[in-house]
Amino acid sequence: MNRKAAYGLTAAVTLFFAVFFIYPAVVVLKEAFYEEGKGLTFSFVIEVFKNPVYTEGLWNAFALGVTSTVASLFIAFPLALIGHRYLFPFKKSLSALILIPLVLPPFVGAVGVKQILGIQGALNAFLIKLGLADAAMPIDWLGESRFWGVVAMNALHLYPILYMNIAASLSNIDPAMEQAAQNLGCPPWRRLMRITLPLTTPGIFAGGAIVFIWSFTELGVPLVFDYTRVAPVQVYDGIKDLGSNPFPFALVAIMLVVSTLVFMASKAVLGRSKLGTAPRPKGKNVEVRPKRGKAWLCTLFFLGVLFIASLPHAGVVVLSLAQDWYGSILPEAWTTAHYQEALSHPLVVPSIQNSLFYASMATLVDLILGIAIAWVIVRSTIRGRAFLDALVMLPLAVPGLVMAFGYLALSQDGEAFRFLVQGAKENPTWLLVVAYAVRRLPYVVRSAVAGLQQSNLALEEAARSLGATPVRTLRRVSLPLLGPNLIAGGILAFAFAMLEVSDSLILAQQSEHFPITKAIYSLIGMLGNGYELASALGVWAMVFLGISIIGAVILGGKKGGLFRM
Amino acid sequence: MEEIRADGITKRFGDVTALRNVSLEIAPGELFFLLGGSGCGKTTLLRCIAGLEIPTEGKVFFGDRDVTDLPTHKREAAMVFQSYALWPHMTVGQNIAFGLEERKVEKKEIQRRVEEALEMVKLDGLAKRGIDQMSGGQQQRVSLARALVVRPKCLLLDEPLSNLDAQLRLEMRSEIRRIVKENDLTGVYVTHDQSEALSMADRMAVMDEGVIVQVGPPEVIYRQPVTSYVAGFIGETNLLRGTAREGNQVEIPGATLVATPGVEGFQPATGSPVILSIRPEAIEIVNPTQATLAGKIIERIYLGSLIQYAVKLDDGTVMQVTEQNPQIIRSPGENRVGLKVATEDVTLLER
Repeated sequence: MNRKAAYGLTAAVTLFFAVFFIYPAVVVLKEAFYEEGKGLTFSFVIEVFKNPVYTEGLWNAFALGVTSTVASLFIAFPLALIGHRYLFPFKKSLSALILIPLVLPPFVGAVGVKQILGIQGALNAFLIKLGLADAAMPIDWLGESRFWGVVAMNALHLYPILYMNIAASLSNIDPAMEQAAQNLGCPPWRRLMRITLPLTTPGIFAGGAIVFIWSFTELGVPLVFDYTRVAPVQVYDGIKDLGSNPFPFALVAIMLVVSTLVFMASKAVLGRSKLGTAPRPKGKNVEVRPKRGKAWLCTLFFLGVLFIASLPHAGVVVLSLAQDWYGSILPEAWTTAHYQEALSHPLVVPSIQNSLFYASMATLVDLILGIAIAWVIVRSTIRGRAFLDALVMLPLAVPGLVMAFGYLALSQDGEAFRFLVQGAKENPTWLLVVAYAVRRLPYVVRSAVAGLQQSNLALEEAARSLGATPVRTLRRVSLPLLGPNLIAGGILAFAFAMLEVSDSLILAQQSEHFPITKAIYSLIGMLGNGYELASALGVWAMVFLGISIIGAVILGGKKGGLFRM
Repeated sequence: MEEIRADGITKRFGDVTALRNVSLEIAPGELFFLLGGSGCGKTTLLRCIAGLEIPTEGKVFFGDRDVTDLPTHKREAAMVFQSYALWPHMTVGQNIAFGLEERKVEKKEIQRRVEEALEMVKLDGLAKRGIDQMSGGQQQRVSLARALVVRPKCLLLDEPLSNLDAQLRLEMRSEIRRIVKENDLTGVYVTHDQSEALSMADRMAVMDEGVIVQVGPPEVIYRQPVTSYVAGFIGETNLLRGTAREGNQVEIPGATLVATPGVEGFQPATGSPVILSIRPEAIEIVNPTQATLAGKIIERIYLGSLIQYAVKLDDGTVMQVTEQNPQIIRSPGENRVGLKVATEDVTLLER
């Protein structure tokens, strides 16, 4: 083991993180807590809390976070439990498909939901046809209950994170734990509450914290739903007069603090939990094959969740193919014209090219850093490796919105990151690449660490003892063994970079540099057939990402590892 | 204390048949061992008795009760798992109290019985400890206490000692036997460790490929194995192929030995192929002129209290020979040695 290399790598990675992750976050905090000439001040934050609009926004965001997490849990836990316990028809493909909603961009789905739940939407048309609603007074489903609309979108988007974590926790439980309870007279329902659920808490907390932070700072869905009374949207709207207005920074800083606290709290719960020391399962989990009808019920449950989770996106697909969809259950006429028109729109093709480039570069950066970091964490014995492990996981705790703001502030004239934005016409390419890379790094590191831990150190030592240099060993033995894990982590990082919202919306200002997400958002705002064009672009993106995640799952094999903190 | 009876049990998992028509009777208060290599079906049989698996065919009786379809917790048979299966989110005391809580026992009574159970396994006063604060041996005791505290009639143990180090394993052997006997339990104990079975069992069943090959007390199984599988699995043995001749004589390459049939009344037809089993410690090294078998020592392993030799016979067969308390240390080499063995130590088996 080369300690010098390990220290060198640790130093390099720490420096990279200090510059591109901690520094921007600190800048946000500085803008929020520092006033020219006055030094440290809490007046901006106090102002935020005094302002009823901002407090409502923060409160709504918090409520969104909590409610979305609970809703995700109610979807994810039964799925994970059924998947863990029973054998049912199409189980293998269903447990892969059930992850797909994670890469369906929720704010694209929100466009579909608007079409379905709008006043002149499909649901009202359906109800009127059944005679359950009055055509003269259609119900405004998204009017008063936008909050729940956002919750539903968040939950249906993010439940796979909890599902994977819970599934991983469940597979770590020794099946004898439950059998022992059964043998001592504990009926199934109590067994679930007394044994299974407590033993699953590591997964619930690990996944729950990520889901909370994600939905607490979700920008895209509320924007599309015009749900403006929520902090992330208020922050986004505040960008225009950023120079003179410190409140967006104060809001972002508060969100950063809340997210970090939640992250730390879940870490503390995990750290204190004795479950980490639980013996690894000795017995093999045997999936029960329930009676025919019951087995099909399991299949039906999985299908039902999939159906509901993909309904918004199905709406998008229908919309993209609709000639006219207004006040009817399904469009009256179909057309592929939107796809053609979209491809000739000046925003669309460049945005696809841009996103592909940004995401590929970011993934490349992540893979290089990820392998190096994983190697230090798993194979070296240096003292700083636990610190490094914790450090690279931090981006999971820091909302994208915070980072985007930090980058934005730092890329202004005369600031430190100005060099990343080349030329007179601001080109945010490298800024976006770095921003994407930093935030997706945890996934790649986790999957590389998992891969290294699974592969036997002796295999590397054997190569070394036969005369291979460390670098050659890495290339000829370690990397080939790590391959599937790296590809899985890389594809996930790539997929998330492709549909990243907050960095993209905030950092890309010129239309020729728009990534896909910002292009979709601009198209939505267009008069005429903007919605249809946005849908067509969204469908392209979704097809692409669906293929990516299936590939990631097939190659990654063991699920859950990617979203462990 | 209750009799356990398995009646023609077959268990299939998909296409795999784990148990084939297995029948067994375990007497009340007996400590009975199920012994066999991995995949022989011993754990599946135990789990059928425990009610954690339901046999595809056949019935399980506890005393007069047909328990085949009875759920596990109504059988009054507590199970000790190989991995202990102690719940890490509960303390030692909570783990032990669990079964009593499920039985709605009064709080005070629970406390009393938990203390009693801890005393029984010599862990008095450790109720408040976390599971992660206990050593492997202590965890083993906690899992025993958790099973005992519900006062079962039978105790089912699934390789309970396989996760302990050698020293602790020896200690726990007598401990478990004491606990089963003191509590008047019928014990069924699954293991792949033949020395565990030989030293602890009242009776044992040797299993192979889903069937029971032989049932009996340890000394009978060891001395009169009925097949070469049993002979090879329980203790070390030399297996020699030969041809049956008149009056229990068996011709092996270069010699003819008189043997004792493993199964009473086994009379192989003259000329039919048979196997002879001879334990290494039953062989005495003598002058070549005084013995029927002769060869050269090719290897010596000195173990202090005993010494092991590998002797290559003239036809090339290698025999293991063990000498207790060796007086002479022989060296491998050219000198020929003779091997002497008594008729009752040559077991005649079907090939």
